[in-house]
Amino acid sequence: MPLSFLNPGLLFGAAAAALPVILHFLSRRRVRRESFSDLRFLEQVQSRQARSLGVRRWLLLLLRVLALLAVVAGAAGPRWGGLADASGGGSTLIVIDTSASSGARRGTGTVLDAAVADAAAMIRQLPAGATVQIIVAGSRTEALFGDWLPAGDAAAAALTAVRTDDGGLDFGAVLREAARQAARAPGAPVDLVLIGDLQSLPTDPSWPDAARALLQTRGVRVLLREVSADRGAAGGVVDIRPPGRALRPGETALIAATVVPDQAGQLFTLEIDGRAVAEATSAGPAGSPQAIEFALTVPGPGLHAGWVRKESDTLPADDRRPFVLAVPSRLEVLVVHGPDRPGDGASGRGGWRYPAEALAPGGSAGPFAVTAQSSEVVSTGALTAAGVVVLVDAGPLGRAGQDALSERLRAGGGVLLAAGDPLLADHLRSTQLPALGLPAVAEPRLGEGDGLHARIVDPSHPLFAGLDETARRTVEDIRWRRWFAFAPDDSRVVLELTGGTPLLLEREVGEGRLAVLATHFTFEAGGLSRSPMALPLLQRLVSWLGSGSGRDGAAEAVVGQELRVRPRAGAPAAVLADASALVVTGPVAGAARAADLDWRGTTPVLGTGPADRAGFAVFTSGTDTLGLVAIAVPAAETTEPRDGADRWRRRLADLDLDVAADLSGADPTRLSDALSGRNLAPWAFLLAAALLAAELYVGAAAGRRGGGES
Amino acid sequence: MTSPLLTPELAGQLGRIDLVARLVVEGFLLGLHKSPYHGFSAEFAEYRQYIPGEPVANMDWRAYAKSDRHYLKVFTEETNLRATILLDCSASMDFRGDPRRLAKKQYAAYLAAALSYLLLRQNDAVGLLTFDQGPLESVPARSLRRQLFQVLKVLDRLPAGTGTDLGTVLHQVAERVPRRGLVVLLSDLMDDPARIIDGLKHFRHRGHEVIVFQILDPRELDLDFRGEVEFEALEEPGRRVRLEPAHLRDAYRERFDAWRSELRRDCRRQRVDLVEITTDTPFARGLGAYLRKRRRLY
Repeated sequence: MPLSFLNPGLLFGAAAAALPVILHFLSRRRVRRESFSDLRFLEQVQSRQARSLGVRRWLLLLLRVLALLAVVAGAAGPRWGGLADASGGGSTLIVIDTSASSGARRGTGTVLDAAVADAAAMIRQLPAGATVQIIVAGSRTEALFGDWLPAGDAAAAALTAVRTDDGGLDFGAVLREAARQAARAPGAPVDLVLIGDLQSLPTDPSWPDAARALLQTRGVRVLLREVSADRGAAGGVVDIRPPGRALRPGETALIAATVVPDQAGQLFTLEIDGRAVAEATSAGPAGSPQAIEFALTVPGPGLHAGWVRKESDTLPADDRRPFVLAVPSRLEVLVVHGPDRPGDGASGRGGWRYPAEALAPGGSAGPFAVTAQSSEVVSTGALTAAGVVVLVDAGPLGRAGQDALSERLRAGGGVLLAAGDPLLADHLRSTQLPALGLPAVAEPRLGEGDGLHARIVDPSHPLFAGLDETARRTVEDIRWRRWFAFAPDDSRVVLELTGGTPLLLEREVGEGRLAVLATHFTFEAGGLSRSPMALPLLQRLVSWLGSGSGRDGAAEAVVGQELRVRPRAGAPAAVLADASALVVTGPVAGAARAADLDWRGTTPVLGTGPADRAGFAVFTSGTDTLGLVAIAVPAAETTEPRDGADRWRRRLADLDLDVAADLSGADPTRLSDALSGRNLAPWAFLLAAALLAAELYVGAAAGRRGGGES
Repeated sequence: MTSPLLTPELAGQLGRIDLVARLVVEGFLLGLHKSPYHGFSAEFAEYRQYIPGEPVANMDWRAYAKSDRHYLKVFTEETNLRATILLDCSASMDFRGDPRRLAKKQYAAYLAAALSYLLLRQNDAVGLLTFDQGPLESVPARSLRRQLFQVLKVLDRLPAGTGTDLGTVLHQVAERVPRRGLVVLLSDLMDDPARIIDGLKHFRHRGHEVIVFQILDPRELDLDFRGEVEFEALEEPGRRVRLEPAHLRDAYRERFDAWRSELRRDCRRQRVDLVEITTDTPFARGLGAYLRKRRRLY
């Protein structure tokens, strides 16, 4: 109901409106009688005005009654609009979005500046007796005050401590913190006011439970106030994709990035270790995501801090984005094969020597350091240390070996499983495939005649990217005569035999990559070993599988996430042994703090709490750099369009949180009116005065009319 | 010009009409700077031969001493004023808007008494006739000293009047006043102006000079009543009007003033002096008006 009263009990005073009515009738009964000399003049004026006087009398009575009712209504504290029961003594819980998007420009300040000003104005306008609590929601979601404070200048002044950060809005955390604070609120009802840019958010499964917890607290009403940024083009850097393979120092690599330019032909800059090394210009229209590539001469081995930047715009937070460029010195490749048998020939069992030779022709010191071991003798240490493990008709690795392989895979290593020996079918089904997370179905198949061709399913796959048509046709001309029919799963098919049987599949497992070649390298199994594309194809495949190699010590995170990173490979054990010397620096310059060391099985993990700024966190111990973490602004805080109040209203309604009022359009100086309603008392008293004036005027006018009509 | 020794309020408290009349007139005359009444007594006209047996009061003894003949001084009695006071005793004259003031009839009675006293004091003849719907009592005009007693006796016991028929009464009275003289009408004139003027014209036609004292209560002029009032006509008990005077005051005044203006205009046309006085007006004003008229006449 739009009309409410602060003191509805005083409305009983409306009974006083009966007073003028009673007086009216009493006065009519209490007529004085006077003798008069001559009535003719009185009769003349009375007869002509008798009717108007009757009307006037009732009009006067009506005006008096209305005036009295207006006075009573004014005393009862009438409020128009706002929320019922906003009679003071309630509690107002204000959630201020301090996430990265709140740093967007708005006038001479930012969205957060405006939101804080609105919140301060609201706190100052709250009625006496009201209490207030502030939740700041950015990289962390926490209450600003230790306990609920009385509304007023002191609470409003405390808002000056609120700052924007590079974090994302965790709405689930907001709901949980709101429920916690609402439960402690000294007054009821609790008005939960969400102030911010009402940004787009991906739905989180934790929201319904958090919303339910909030609803269980007493009398919570949700209100929205959208504080939008200045209109205007806003762009940013959405993501950065270094080549998905192991890089070699000195080679030219393409760093891909998805960007949103805020103007056509916008220049983006790539920085490595603080130095601009490449530029790229967007070609598409402003405001839409598009891919650009930076041609980079790969720096020396190690971890490199990289940035992609653009000129700052309305929302500065997403105009630069960090990444870690990991360059391994050499990619360690371990070829694990089944024990050679008589008759396997020079190429070894499954033709394992073909890939070994293709990666390091003649044992040259190329980018690959290839070692080969029989599955019967391979050690877990070798499996763990290898950047890429190539399994060629390998026999059982033993439980420890299999676990080491799986762990290496999940930790960022690469595995190529090439199996074509039908004798290993049972081992594949029972052990190898389940251990690698693949469907335990592998049936040996033989091709008829000269065998089957294989089709490149996706020419844009990194394995084939850059190959011309002739090269791709050469790949597809290879005939395959023996293979395993693997059951389809969610793996991507890279090569597909005629008839649809997958020949080469790949999938990501943990941070590593797994490729399955459904055959091996002998000529009997297929013509790969004699194809001119064998060497480039195998090198590309292993390089791509080994993209995680050299990334030990590198990690990427978004603001608000816990920072976790494995120490770089080769870190001295003694360094890790002294946990007290572990320090993490950044992303804010000079803000060094102690780092944690955790062990996941045999793998050490460095960690620290969540960062609230974008940039780099560097884990060190003494002079040794152990890890580098690139911390980016959450995607939802970047150039995503704002949802606005309407979509937030629907979003909250889906959580059974109905929005009691949308304060988005309200005058900042009248936000309290929107809560408790607009105070109509002055208008009621003014109306009463006007009615009384009208009463006097009507009375006087009647007298004047009497003269005028004569 | 006046020394209001006796105000209407005080006169009402005195009650005795003879005393009121005397005090009014004496106070009035004392306030005059120069008396206009010297020589008002009967004026000498001629001598005539004394006829034995006649009173010797007017014998001119000096002429007798010189001529040894008896002559009587003859005064021109024709020059004496015959004033007839007509007093309206209708019920409307009983109206008194404020208990502290005199009713119109009482005021008129005191004024009539004072006029009589003044007239007789200068040896004018005074007569009185009271009326409401018709003549009630009359005292023929004489200039005798005891005439005042006769007049005051009537004025002291004026009857409660009924309605007004002023026009008819004036015609009747005009026929009854035999000789030309001064007619003084004391009334509120609460009647049809045309009929009143018609009656007054009758007097004028018969050679009378007419002076009309319209006596009104101040409340009749301003209708100063509060709240809702039911007015009842004094002359027609049962006839009532219920209204709130505060809201009709202006209209009432406008009509009332129009009525008075009409009377004023018609009187002026008929050369009738209309003196408008209210019951809170000192009697001297009425006496002054009379004297001005008297001076114009003689």
